[in-house]
Amino acid sequence: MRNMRGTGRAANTGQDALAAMLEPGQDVAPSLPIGTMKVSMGPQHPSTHGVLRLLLELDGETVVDCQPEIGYLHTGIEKTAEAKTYWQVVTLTDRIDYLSPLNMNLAYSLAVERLLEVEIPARARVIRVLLAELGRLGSHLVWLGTQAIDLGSLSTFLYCFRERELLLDLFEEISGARMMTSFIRPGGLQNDLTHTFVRKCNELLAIMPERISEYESLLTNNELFRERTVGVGTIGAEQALALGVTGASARASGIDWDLRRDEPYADYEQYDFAVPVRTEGDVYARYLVRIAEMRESVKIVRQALDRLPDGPILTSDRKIALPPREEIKVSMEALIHHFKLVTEGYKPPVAEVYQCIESPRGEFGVYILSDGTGKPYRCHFRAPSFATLHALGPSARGGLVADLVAIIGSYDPVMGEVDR
Amino acid sequence: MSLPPSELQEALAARAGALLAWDEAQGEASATIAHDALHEVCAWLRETQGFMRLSGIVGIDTLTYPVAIAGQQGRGAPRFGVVYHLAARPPASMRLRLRVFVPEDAPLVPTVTDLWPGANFFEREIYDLFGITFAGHPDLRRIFLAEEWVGHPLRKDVGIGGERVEFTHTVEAISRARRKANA
Repeated sequence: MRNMRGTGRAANTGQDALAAMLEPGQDVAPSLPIGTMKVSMGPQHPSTHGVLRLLLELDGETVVDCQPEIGYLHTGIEKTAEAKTYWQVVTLTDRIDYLSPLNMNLAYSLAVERLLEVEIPARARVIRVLLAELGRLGSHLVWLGTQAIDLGSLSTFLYCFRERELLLDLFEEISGARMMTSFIRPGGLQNDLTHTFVRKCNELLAIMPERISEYESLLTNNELFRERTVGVGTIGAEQALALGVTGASARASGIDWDLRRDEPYADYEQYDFAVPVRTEGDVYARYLVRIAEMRESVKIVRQALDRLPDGPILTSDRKIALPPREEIKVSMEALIHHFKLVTEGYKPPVAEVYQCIESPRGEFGVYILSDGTGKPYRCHFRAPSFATLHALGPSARGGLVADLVAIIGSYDPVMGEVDR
Repeated sequence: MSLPPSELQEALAARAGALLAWDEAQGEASATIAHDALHEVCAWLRETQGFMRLSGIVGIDTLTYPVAIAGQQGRGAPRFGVVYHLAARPPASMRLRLRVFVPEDAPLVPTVTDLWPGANFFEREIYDLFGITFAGHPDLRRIFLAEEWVGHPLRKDVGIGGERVEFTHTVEAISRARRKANA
């Protein structure tokens, strides 16, 4: 209190000094500039989820214009891919959307497999779905934690990361890496599931529904959270569709479009899951859709674990998949295949493919133009966040600048995939 | 709402000079379109055929591509290509690929941002990395690279690993050095 009183006195003194400088009868107010203010938010702002810079034009506290400036994480993945053999590119895909690397691996592998026209074993297909859904779960946990922390709910963040840790342990168990897994590869998988993985995965599935309810109990009916999210950052279905918004953000605006159901890949048509859709199109609706998606993911993982067939996890086509280690020691042919694959890789026919999957952020598409050599001639990644970011301006305009952090969080952008 | 691929092909072929080639490889329908007819074809596909989502736009540089891409015959064919991936809403769930090709000396493609505002970033990306200009784009600037960057790195005649790292934080100094190097 003493401080505040002190400041008050200082301000009064300042005003007195100003009044002394003025001519009698002159008013200070009309000479002050009235208009909008340009503010640069980021690229180091903690709530921009990476390095995103927003050029804001503010009228008081109201956002008049919001222009995203991107490129801070541009690493030229598409150019690099042109210099790598097809299977080396897998490691690059991990780094596109680094919150769901398994989904990135999956999209790329499906695209290459369509180029090669290779069938992969049933066990590998089921494990892929299992891992893609675990990846979605992990990614949504990061989204929920950061969205909550942006809005002041620190404890939700801690709970989400507690469960994400279990997921990362699972990925480490099978691939040796917590994040850059490179586990799903053209032709199948890097390795088989271990018993420990299955046990830990079952444990996780047992606690997860209850844990999701726990997060919800902190937020869904929380008056403070609703106050910050209901009716904030609203975007309509027509506009979302025209702007290229996909995934959960689009489904929260009433666009009932999920590639897992509508253009099934990796046998998704054999799984039973619902596609949550809301029509409000605000931050709260995006929150509800993603929470519901997490529950659906748990259901899909459960189904995949239950139906896990026996069998190989890699195609038997030795022109595409590396031979097993023990075979190399005894078989001349295996050694030659190994040498050929490692030095020059496989050569798909001249063709082009576009393969899209429903990544945690929406439509993630891989476009490959093959020229018949061992390296992709052109490899393009259609990143959902890149398109969704463009919707940030329209949904932020007219709102408060303080709501902007809620809106950014609700679109769940990952800068690695925006900039590539 | 949208026609099946074969009828779509006929409908596109009926537009004088619009359709250069049609192919259905790998289960994906692709149409190569004359670049001056692109905008009207896109408008027709969006308004009447239900291709409400523009999934993405990809730039390609065919400089060292060994064979002719559909609709592009022989030497002297236009160097740059722009590939559009369109999608129709479920339950139709149809996809269509459009390609346009433009020559190296006049890499100019009409913008589709008036039809799909979401094309904005994709066109800026292609402008940045390939140097293809989109006529009528509301804000055609570089999107990833710095404004003063010289060249378009995804072109095939730009090598890999050739960028010098500038150990200065002065933007003017970098631009000066680049201009000197390019002079």
